[in-house]
Amino acid sequence: MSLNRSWDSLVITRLKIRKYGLIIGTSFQNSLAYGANFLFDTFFYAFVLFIFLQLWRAIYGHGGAIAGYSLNQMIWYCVITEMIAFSGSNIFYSLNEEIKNGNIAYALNKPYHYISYQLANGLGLMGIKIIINGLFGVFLGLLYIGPLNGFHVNYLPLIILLVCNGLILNFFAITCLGLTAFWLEENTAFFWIYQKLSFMLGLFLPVEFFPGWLQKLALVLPFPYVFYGPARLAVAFSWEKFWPILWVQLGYSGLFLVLALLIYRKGVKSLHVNGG
Amino acid sequence: MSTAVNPNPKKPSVIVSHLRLLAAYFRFNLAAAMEYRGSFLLQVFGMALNNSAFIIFWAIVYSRINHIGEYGFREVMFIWALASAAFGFAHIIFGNIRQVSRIIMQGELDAYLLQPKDVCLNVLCSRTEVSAWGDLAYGLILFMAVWGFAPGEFLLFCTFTVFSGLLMGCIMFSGEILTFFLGNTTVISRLVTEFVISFTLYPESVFRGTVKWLIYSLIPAGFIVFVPLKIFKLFSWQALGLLILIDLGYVFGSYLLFRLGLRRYESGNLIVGKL
Repeated sequence: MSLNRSWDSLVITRLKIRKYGLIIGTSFQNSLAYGANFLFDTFFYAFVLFIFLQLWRAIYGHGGAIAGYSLNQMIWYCVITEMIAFSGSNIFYSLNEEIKNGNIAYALNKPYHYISYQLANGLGLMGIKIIINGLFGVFLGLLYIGPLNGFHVNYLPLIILLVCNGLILNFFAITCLGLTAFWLEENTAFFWIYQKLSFMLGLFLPVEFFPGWLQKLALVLPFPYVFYGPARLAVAFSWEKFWPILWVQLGYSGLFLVLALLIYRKGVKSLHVNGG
Repeated sequence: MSTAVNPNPKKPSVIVSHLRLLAAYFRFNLAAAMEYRGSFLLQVFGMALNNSAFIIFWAIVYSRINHIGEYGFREVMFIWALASAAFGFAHIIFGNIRQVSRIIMQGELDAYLLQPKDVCLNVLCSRTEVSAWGDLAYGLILFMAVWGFAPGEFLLFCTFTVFSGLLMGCIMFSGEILTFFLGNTTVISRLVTEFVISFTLYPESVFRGTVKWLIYSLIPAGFIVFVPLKIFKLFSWQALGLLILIDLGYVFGSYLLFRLGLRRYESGNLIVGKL
């Protein structure tokens, strides 16, 4: 009896994995169909890096290091943070639109959990983006500044793990913000603020550039773990920093996932869709 | 005989009637935005706060170095203030600037073609962007916070805001109307917009070689923020007059491009209601 039950649950789990796997695959293929968007993102990624290259060259005019970062490390830091930024999901806007125009109603009676569906869909999109931007980013980094000094290829899988965790942490955080559309007509301002905090606390500048008190404050917030964590370890890997960054990423991802599920459950109960 | 003379004194001249249209659109768009006051204020303050984040970035950078070329912290804040205010001004008055490509592709231009006003102005002004009020407010406040409030200087800054706004707007608009000639140019128009914004936000000394040529020609960020900063620091009427002439030249050029493109426009026979 107990054996049957565990066999059943195994079969159900396998079916679920297959179902969400198919969603990831479909999203992956859909993303590839919109070549123009990729072209824009890739070109803009190169442009943004070019601007930062010029800016940091002007700042590092006299050589040396700033906050422990050489010019070479700083440019590679930007390559990685911008790579993550350009590979992120646009889940906030799609959730906002679906909730506000009532299209979410069509998803409620489908045989999947809405948040899991969004995650699977997002993973497909982020997957293809990170592959393209990753390869292109490495090419741009080599072109702009040359190889990253002191980088060991052995650490690459760990850096990739942190980059993926950063993307997922960011995904769940903006999912929470997008789901506030259940109650708020205009919630974009919250997204802007979240986005800019992430940008300031890691995307543009490493945390080491901040004054001491701000460094301490930043490191307890989730924002630096999206961009700063992976990029910091890529340019100067250390096991002492790796474990805390990994655990905080996982902790915040879990927290935002639970929060998203709670907001969704509460939001769906208060949903009113008129017409069709 | 001058064409500017109005043959019928009761009927306003073309310029006056279009200025009235502009004022009417501004009033109605503002009233529509204020209908949802909470949303309006949230967007305005949200955008201002959003922009403020970059002050921290520059403050931290300048805590480590003194100058980037000739630019200190105050100079960078000036170009940020002007770029934001100009962007805000352009999108408040000409809220459809970044929608033109879509309007052309979806055949929505038909509704404007039937109206007895200039199509270009009519399309651009018929909408406003609420968050642009936040950009404008941020620009003006940042300028006063960093450079202080002296009426003459503030007036000069406002003049720059208007003309830089027109220039910034017409470059974005030109990117959009390429749709007339090339079909779906969403990617190009997005890139033009991003180029204009990005080039206006960093010190001029960052850009060298071909890029320097680019910011004084195709993407004239130089005339949007860098030249105004030079005039602001070392004022001369001649330089100001010349800058305004250059700005108006770009505006006229984009208007001509629109008229040229309009000849190639084909109606999609789309039935739309425009109130």
